[in-house]
Amino acid sequence: MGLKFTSPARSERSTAVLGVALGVLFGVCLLTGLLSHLIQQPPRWFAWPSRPVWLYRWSQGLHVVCGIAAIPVLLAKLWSAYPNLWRWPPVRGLAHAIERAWIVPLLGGALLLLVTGLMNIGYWYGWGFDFIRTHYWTAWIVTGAIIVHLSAKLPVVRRALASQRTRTDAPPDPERRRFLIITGVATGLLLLTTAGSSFTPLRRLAVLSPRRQGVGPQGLPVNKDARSAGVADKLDHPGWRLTVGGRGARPTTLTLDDLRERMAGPMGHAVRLPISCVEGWSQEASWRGVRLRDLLEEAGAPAGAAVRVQSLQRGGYSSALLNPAHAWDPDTLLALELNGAALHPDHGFPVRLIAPNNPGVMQTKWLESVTVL
Amino acid sequence: MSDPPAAPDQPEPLAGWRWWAGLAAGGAVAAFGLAGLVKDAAQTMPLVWAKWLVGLLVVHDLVLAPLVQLTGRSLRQRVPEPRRWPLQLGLIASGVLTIASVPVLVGVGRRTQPGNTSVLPGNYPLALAGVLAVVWLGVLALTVWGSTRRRALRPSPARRKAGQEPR
Repeated sequence: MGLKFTSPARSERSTAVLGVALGVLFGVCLLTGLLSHLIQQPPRWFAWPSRPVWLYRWSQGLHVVCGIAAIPVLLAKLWSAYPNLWRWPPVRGLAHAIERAWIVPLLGGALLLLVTGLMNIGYWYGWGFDFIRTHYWTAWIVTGAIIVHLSAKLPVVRRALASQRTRTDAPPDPERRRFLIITGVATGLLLLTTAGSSFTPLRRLAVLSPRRQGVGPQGLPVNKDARSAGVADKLDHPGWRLTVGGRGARPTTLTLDDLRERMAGPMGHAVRLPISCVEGWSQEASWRGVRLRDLLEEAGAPAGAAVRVQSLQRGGYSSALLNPAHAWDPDTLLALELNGAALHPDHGFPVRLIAPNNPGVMQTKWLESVTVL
Repeated sequence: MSDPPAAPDQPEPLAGWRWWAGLAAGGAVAAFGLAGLVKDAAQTMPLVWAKWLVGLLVVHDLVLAPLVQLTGRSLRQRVPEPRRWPLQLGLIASGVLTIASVPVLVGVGRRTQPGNTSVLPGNYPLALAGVLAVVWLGVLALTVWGSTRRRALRPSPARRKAGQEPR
């Protein structure tokens, strides 16, 4: 075959180094992704704790940061292995044919995960399929393909990463080292200009991120605004009430003034907790409101019960299940204030949930009821 | 290992129980994913999904990769080291930053939630231009630094002498 690839920067060693880096990045994405999935759709055996406060913020921040970092690393890996695509003859026997066929789900799937993930955090749903389901199942397919790929390439990786001193085939070449350095620099620049939407020390540099810390109503980003959620007209209604009820609880109906009165009394509490979005951005803020556990005790709810909170919003994400750890955590609030002022409509006026170590999508806004389960 | 190491692009012989065990394990995991994808077909739209998967492969293998190959080759032919690698750095970093910024540059997300000013709040074309300007200033600095260092490493006798003369 007439295609010639002459760059001396390509080597088995740099391909192996990039492969290991990609394996780590995709591994972190898989674990953090599965964790987020378990938290949002918990099976019976899984109880997500409410402490430490920062755990979900870090886990989901890492998911998105590692996914973004994987973009240049994957492109570099594909560049270094690109001549293999045009190798002649294309297959040498059954095992090799199988190995090559698995490259299609491996690369296609990996590209699909990164591209849909990147578009999703930019609110660009240009594909038609449901993002969460498709991203989740594709991750399993890619994981399987990585296992197959690794079992084929493990001897190569081992040999390539063996100490340089014992090697005779590839003397150190400045071009090869530079290729890895350049990949690292490009990845670093990408992270410097995006990671600050979750990693506060870099917030001023996050000029290419779809979210900025400090930008939004009351200085905090919003995932869904009141108008898009279809609740804008229901918020200032004089007939608004919060109902507390369910298993073993006295049905209680509270007006906004009732809640404010409780906030001014011993049930009132102020906390600093982050909003940690599944899309990777996160930001700490000051919240003030009524402790959920105090309200539950006031209504006579059995201690340690799980709770469902329901929003005025209808459709997806309009309610959230709080396991006992979250429902009874002393820092879990029905918040009325954010950063010293009444909640902005986009942040959940009149009252929203804020709980420690809870995904943003489960910090339900515009509450209308609390049900003991 | 007794067999000689293969050259970078040499095919690797596949054999042994490790490979077949890995194939069985990986195949099972991938089959689980594929079964889930088909089970949730109403949401995952497997045909659309497959079009995206193959489409991305084609765009990478037949558009992006050849473009990078050609650029790299012509750079190698026209620009000698040590002026070449800062240019490679600049081109690769610019390409990566631009590709990763496509969603914010296109800005479709603003139309998804017209009332939400915290989605895509920046002026991204300007921001990217600024970041790229910094990158290329860095390239310029590296080029200048590289050429002065080269001169310093191989000083001509005349220059050394000139440097010692009082003004």
